[in-house]
Amino acid sequence: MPLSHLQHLRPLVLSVVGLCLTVTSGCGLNSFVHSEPDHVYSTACPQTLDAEERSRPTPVEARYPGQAAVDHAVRGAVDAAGMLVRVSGGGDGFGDGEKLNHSGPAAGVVRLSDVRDADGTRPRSVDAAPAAFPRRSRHYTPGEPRLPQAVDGRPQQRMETTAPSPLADMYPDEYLFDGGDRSQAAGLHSELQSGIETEDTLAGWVDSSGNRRTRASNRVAIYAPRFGSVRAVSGLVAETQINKAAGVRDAAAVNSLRTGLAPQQNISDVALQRLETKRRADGMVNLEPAAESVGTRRLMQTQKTDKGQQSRNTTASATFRLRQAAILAQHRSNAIAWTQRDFPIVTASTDSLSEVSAVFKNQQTIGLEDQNVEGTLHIVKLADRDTAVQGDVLRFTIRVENTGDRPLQDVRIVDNLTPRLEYVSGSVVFDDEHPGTLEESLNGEGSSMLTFRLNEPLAGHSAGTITFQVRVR
Amino acid sequence: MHSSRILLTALTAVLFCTLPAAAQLPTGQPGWNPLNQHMPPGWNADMLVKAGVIDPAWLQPIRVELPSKGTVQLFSGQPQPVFESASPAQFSVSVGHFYRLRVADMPEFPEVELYPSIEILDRLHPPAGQEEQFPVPFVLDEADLKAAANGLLITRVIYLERPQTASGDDPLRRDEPLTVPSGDNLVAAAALHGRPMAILRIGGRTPSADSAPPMFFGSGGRTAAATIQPAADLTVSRQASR
Repeated sequence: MPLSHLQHLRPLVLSVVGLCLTVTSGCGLNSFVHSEPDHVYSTACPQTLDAEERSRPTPVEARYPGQAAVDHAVRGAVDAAGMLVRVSGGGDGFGDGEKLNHSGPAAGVVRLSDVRDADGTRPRSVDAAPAAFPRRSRHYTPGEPRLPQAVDGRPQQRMETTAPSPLADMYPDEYLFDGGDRSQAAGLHSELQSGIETEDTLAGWVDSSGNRRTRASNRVAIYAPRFGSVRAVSGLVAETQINKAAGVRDAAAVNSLRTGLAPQQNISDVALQRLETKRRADGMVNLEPAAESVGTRRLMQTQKTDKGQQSRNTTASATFRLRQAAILAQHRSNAIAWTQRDFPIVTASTDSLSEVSAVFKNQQTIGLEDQNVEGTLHIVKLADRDTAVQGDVLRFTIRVENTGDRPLQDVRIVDNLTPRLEYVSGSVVFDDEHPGTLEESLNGEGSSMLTFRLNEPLAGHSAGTITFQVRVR
Repeated sequence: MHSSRILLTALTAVLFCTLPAAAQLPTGQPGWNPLNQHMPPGWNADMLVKAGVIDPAWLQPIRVELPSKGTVQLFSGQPQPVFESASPAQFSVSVGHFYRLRVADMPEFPEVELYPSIEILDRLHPPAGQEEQFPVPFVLDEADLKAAANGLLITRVIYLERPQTASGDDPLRRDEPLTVPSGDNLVAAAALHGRPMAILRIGGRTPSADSAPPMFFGSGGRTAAATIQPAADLTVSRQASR
């Protein structure tokens, strides 16, 4: 192989490898180029520096010049100087990329002046005396949680969920949810409603101050997984397909295609109107002369001729002429009449003394302060079972309670059923003390939106109950 | 000769660079899924086990439904059936394995026996003590069985439906099943609707008495008989135990 050919292939190989390094973000070769961590948040315990007692890391105190003592507990983290610092008490257990010179100023004092990070940069001079501080057990700072956590460590949901298993939040696709406010914040207005999605259950009311309020119920989780399938059919039999017999010559017909774009001519004449402006207030008269503009546009003449496999595009000479002459656009300043008159202004001011007389009278106000607490509504939704299969009938119970003193007006509860729930007609029951009506409408997603309205205001410290049935699809 | 060696080295470098990048692509994005129904039976489940995504120790109840009546046999790595039951049949199998079924004695298709294969990709997480109340269903409808008897291969990916995008109709027993071209990735298509749970392949292949490979009858996962009665009468007779 001549050397010249090798030199021709070398740029090809280098370009291919370089292209791979550029395009593939997860390439193993360029992993050292991007040394940023993949996961910012991690609850995993970092790897220990050692497995034995002798090499357990010892905390040291680093003193920077002109700075107070800073406790540098060795956690394998980036220090204030942007350097990876790991100091082993045994003196032998340094990690990769760490270089520590033990030729310190005194015995037992570790001088970090020669500590280098991976790229070889030299940080500030630091003296550390590990023997002067007591040994400290390893302490790791947990990563930031992705979601707000409850007391037991599980992700805390915005809505309170009533579920038969604590796994409902981890595997929500196996559950059938109803209640709460799913994603968009919902609101019940006078006659309108916004942000109501399937599964949402909301209560709206008007308090004694006339304010309209909305509150979501809790979320009920019912274990009811449903399955589907996607199908593909393929043949197993041997199939022979003949695309072209041997010796057959395809003859594409020679079509004479001719496409001619007829030359067009557009003439646009725009004639400006005579503009005249007069302002009588200030006595100014402005007269703009009339202008006339004439434009003539003529499109290009294009002809395309296709004959057989040959294509020829012929462009004829184009004529484009634009004439815009403002024949009468001469500004005749002498034709403008400008007149202004200034009138003298006379201002008079008269100052006179005034006398103020005030009489104070004792007044007494007698009133009654209303110490009743503003009413508010709490809504709770329950289901009569935790699990269900297709065809089962569930009974939902919605309980609304006014925990305030003042009554609540126009109480209504909206339940937008998920498509997997079908309302059983005529199954709604209001309690005897709080009768109401039900309005059923289609929610556009294959199920119903139920609106329960209480006929009477909900008095303070009273509760009403609504039950209805749905069938699981 | 030397140039071809250099070219081979360059291609090796290309593969070395691109394969790790492909392995790091997110599997949940539509349009690309490492699982594919065109792979041999058991390959997808085995990849999930090796990746540590699923727990092969979990016994997932399954339910096999025939159009009306029939006999269902379950094989797990051996030519002898592990269980035999009347339709609908319910068993428990290991996640991450594939099994072979034998369906026969169907009044719609007399003298026809088929050997579908099932591949378990994922599991359910029901409340404790109610695992067998929620099996993964394998519905072999009449159209699929008829097509398989005529020599076609019907592949179904059973998925767990996403409730937020659910419809009012039953997606498993609809009259017109959701069908995609055979060249498409069926697992990826199922992932658009939910979580892929299993792959069902129904074909006309029947094992011969002397030439059937051992892998034809499954990868040898664990099995367990159902302890409850499904919706219809079910008589499970355990013929063999592993």
